[in-house]
Amino acid sequence: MGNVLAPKPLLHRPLRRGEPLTNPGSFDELHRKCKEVFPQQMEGVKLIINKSLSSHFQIAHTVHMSTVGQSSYHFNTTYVGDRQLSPTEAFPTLLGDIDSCGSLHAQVLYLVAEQIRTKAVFQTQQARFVTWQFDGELRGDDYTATLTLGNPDVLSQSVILVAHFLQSVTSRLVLGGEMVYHRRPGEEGAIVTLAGKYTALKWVATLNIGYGGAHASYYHRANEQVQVGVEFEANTRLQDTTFAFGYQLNVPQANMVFRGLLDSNWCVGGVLEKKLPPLPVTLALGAFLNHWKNRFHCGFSVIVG
Amino acid sequence: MLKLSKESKERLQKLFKGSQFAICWGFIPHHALSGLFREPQILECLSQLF
Repeated sequence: MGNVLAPKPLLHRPLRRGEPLTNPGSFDELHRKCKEVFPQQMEGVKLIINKSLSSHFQIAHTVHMSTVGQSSYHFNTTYVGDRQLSPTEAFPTLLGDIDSCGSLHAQVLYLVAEQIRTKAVFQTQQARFVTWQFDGELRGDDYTATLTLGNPDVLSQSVILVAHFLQSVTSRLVLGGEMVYHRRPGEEGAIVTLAGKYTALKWVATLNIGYGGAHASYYHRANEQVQVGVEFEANTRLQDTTFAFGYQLNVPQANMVFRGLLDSNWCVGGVLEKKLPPLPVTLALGAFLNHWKNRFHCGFSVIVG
Repeated sequence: MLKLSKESKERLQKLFKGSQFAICWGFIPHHALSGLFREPQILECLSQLF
C-alpha cells in the first residue's frame, strides 16, 4: 500500500521567464503615437529659420503672417547639456521662446539623480506671469511616478496638484492613474482618472477614463508607409464628445509626408510636407475646411535648417 | 493653512515680483550666454551646492 504518511515530493517547476518589464514613460505621452498621426492646424504664411550655433546650442527665428489673428515674430533658443540618457534626452535642457509682444515661454529640465528628473515651466503674457509649474518625476525600472505643482501661490493659498502613476504590468500592458487636486480660498476639489495602454506589434490602444470624461485612442501601423489613428474624447463637464480619424502617408522616395484628418465637427483637413534635398529646406502646405461652419483656411510654411 | 503676517506677505510679494522680473528679462540672455560658455551658470552653481 505504501507509506501514506510519507511527505509528498515537491514538484519543482522551472519559473517561466517572461519578457523583462520596461519603463512605461510619462503619463502625458500615453496618447502620443496616435496624436503624431494627425496634422497640425495651419493658417497664413510661416517662415522658420533654424541655426545651430554649437553642438549644444541652437536658435530659431519664426515669422508668422496670419490671416486669422495677429502676425508675430518668435525667437526660440534651445540649450542641451552633456548628460545624454538616450538619443532624444539630454540634461540639462533649457528651452526659451519669446515673441514680439514680450511674452515668454521658458522650460528648464534638470536631472537631479539617475532616476529623478525635475522640470520648471514659466509662461508669461507680456510681463504678467500666467503659468508657473514645477514637476518632479521618478522613473523606476518598470514604473513612473510624477508630482506636479501648478501655479502654487503662498499669498493667496491656492495650488493645483497633479499626481501621476504608471506601472508596467506586463511587457505590453501599462496601467496607471492620475489625481488632480485644486485649492483656492473657499474652494477645493479632486478628480481621479484611470489609465491603461496596450502595445502590440503593430498597434497601440490607450484609454483614460474618469469622472471628468473619457479619452480613447487607437494607433495602427498598416505598413511601412501608412499609419492610421482614431481618437475619441468625451467631456462630462462641457457635455461634449469628439471623434477624429487621421492617417499618415510616408513616401520616402519622394521625401514627402502627408497627414489627413476627418472629425465629428465636420472638419476635413490635410498637411503635405516635402523636403527639398540637397537644400536643408522643408515646405509644408495645409488646408482645413469646416463644412458645418462653412469656414476654410489654408497655410504655407517654409522651414530652413 | 499657513498664516502670514502683513510684513511677511509684503516681503514675499517683493521677492516674487523680483523673481518674475529676473526670469522675464534674464532667461533668454542667460540662455544665450550658456550657449557660449557651455554650462548654464545658475545650474552649475546649484549642482556644486548639491
